[in-house]
Amino acid sequence: MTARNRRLLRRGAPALGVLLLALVPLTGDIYYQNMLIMTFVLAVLASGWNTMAGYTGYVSLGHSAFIGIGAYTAGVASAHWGVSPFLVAPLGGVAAALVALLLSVVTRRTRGPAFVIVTFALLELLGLTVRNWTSVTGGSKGLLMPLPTWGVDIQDWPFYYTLLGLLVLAVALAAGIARTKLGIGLVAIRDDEDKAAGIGISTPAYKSLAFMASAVLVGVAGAVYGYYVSFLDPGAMFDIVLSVEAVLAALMGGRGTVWGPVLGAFILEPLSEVTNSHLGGSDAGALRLVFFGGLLLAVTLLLPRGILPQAAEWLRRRRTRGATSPVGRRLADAELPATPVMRPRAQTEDTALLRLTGVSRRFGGLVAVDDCGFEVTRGSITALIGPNGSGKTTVFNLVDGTYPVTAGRIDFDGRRIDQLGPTRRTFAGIGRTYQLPRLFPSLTVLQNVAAACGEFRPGNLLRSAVSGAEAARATELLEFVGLGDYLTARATDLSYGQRKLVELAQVLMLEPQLILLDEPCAGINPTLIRRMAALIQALNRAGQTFLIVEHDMNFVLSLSDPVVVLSRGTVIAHGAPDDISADEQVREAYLGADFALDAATAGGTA
Amino acid sequence: MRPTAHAPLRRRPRLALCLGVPLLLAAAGCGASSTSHAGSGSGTITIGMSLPLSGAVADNSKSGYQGYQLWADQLNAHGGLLGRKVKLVVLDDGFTQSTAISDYNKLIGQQHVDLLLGTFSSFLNLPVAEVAERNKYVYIEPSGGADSIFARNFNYLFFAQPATTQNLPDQFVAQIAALPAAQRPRTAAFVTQDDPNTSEATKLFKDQLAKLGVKSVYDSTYAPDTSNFDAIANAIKQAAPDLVVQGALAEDGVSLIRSFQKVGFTPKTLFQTNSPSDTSYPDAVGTRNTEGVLTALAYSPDAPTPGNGAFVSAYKAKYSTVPSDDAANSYTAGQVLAAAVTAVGRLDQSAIADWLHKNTVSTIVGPLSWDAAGKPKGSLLLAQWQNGKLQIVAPAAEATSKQIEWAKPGWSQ
Repeated sequence: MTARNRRLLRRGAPALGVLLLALVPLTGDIYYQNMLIMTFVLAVLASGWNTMAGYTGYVSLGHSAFIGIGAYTAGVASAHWGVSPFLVAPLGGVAAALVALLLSVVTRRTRGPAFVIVTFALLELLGLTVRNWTSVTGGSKGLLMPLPTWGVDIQDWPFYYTLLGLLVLAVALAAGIARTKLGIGLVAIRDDEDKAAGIGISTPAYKSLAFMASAVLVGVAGAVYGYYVSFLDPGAMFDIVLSVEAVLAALMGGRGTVWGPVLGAFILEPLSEVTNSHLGGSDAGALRLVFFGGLLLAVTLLLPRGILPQAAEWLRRRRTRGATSPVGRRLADAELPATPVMRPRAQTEDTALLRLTGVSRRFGGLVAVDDCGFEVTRGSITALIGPNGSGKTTVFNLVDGTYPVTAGRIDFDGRRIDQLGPTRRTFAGIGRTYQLPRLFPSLTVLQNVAAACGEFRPGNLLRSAVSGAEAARATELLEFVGLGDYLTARATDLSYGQRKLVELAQVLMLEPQLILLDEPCAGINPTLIRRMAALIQALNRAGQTFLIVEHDMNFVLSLSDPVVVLSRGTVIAHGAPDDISADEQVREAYLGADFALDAATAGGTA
Repeated sequence: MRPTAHAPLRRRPRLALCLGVPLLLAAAGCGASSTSHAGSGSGTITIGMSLPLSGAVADNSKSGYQGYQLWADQLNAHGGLLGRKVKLVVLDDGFTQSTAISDYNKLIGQQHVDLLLGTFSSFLNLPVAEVAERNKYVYIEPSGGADSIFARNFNYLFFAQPATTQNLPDQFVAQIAALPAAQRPRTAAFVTQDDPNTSEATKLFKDQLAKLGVKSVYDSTYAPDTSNFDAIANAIKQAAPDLVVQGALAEDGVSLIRSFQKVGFTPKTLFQTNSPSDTSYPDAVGTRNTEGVLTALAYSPDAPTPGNGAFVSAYKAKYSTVPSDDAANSYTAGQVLAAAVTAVGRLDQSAIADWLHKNTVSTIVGPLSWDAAGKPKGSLLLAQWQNGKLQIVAPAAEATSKQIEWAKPGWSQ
């Protein structure tokens, strides 16, 4: 299939599907109308769930709560004002979004299984509230919705087309989010939330937006569904089973994909109808039990990633059969492309870009960093060396905000930063790489770089991450580090050394004033080491400041000036490379008595 | 017994999903052959229904299904309806609203059944009655007597029980009113499960008894999953009422009595909804402790109404057990439908509905007639446990015991 045909299929198939669905009511069969109405509701719910759990990685077991909120909001509002529930259905969406916002604030620090429990508790809590707030909701007696006012000839069309419209919106929203910086930021949060915070992704804001996006259309659909059922019962409207069905639909179709949840809903609901009415008759209950359990088992065992991702994987394998992966190609020494232009920042008078004063960090009884103090001068390549366990990486973690300091202060660019969170420090101008590169495995190389944000601008979130300025900048940076051919590769398909380069490009995307490199040369081949050194020098010539932790002494001492030596969490020496390598204390603590600078290796990149 | 709705509206997960498409398609093929079209002049008359045969109330609805089956068997044995055999098309909704809606849509839109019969509980009947009404199908429901269902003013809906929750206190309150002022209870405690049926009924008791000068000294509502009633029993003991009225659906009626025993309190008069007519009730509280407990019944196998004796013995012969309320109610619903169709002489839904609004039908629970909203105009029976047997004590015409015991003996441990 050519790329053009694929594009045609991608655009044409959904349009054709919507058209076919729009024609179904004209057959006049209320049974199929009803079945599809239920399918649309489940698909909207599963699609919403997918934004929260599929994209962002926050698994919710209480997503049907938003159905209930929407239904009850519309039910109460329509009774109060005496208007059609259709008119007030958007209010149901607003209410659901507000509850989702509240949920995101409450669960700011809640992850994993604890989050699942919170969502389940939310569902139960809302159900209980509705059951007991009798004066407004009718309590356990339930709430009657108005009866439809249109004629019998029109059947259930108004419900049908409204929900079909909502489903189209839900898919458009999911697809839109997936294309934007917000969307890849959400996937980044799912893959590695702490790392995401470190590259300027404002995780609370992203999560709040994702939660609200995942709830708003579900709320509207809930209002329409409530009107369709015509009677709101707290137990049926805040129903865990509906939540679980949505989860199953999304898992079956493909979690984290745009179409997966919809596909899952279109399989599940008709299938359950078939068991209900064709297969079982009066024995349907027992058969449903068997089928439901069997399906769950089959999805878990055979399709752990869902139908769509599995099918895509299969197609990709077929297409690329025979072709060699570009990953394994040997990286040749080559001329570096032009150094990308970095955004100039307003500078303060202070010549020290980073200053640590009396910084300590304790882990229980262990003092990892002890009264540590040094400066990183603007425009320098400062090296931080020392034996294993001397606290180098801990210093990085204190500077970038991964850990709070136990004592002391850290100043950056003329302001104190030790009270700020990681994302704020990133916005202040600090970028870092990790000893073991931490890339987002679900994202492509380009997306990994494009996800980074040097500052928080709400408008930025809606920018496309696959085209436009953000993508162009990310491409430029990847070309600079020599990975221009790997834009669409998965980060996990790259070699270890290549991942280090991607992480460097990711940091450059932040346009930081200071780059912290944690062992950039560990575990990579000499060619790559030379490239790394060349990149650092080129960037430094353009004015970029570095703080580097590295064990490859030849690399460090040839590249950096000055050098800070750490031992047992304290600075034991500070000075030019030559002085440091001659320092008795340093030789004793770290370098060893027979250390001599290898001029050949050190000069290799010059 | 369940005068109004089916059971606590507690729900178990709907397991509404499946595998095995080829098998399904094969079965679908078989299912399709059984359909026939409304109004066609010959062949079998198909009567569709969807019952909660699985899920939270599966145990109870089984007997309701048997009531329908017995009715259809007897009807066919006597020549069927309008000279044609009847066939029941039964689906299972797993006690889930959305499935019940789907099922009735299927019965009407796909299977094109000739007639409908109702499902159980207000929870299911509320949304389903709307589907029937929109499609102009007569909908006779064996249970589901919540007020809200009649608030719709549906034209095609009929409730096949003698009365709704609204009338539950009638006979009891009338008996209290008939007592000399000095013998009436002076104070009363009201306690109810948080369920539409029981809380509504308990409130009616309170309001109507207040008019007779009975002072409420305690009033509380407990959650459906309450299992320990010691605190409630203790609080009632402190209030020391003459009369206790409990809106009890099932085990909660037994649990409160156990807690009364624990705290050592015996009210002079104890009225409980639903629970005392459960078959397990005498064993659970001890037969001697049932003495004097009052309740309301929509149906009793002992009631001397026309046809009831024959129904009970046929049911016993077929299923080897005494018919439950649900069995009797669905049998009654069938009787109502058959009477109307026979009288109208054709399968004309509007004509059948009109006929039912204008006429009285003789059933095993007595003569039934309905107001414009499909609400029955009769009243429930007042029953009391006497000497280990649940006796009907009012109204006089259907009474199996002439005496009401007003002083309840103390508990035996």
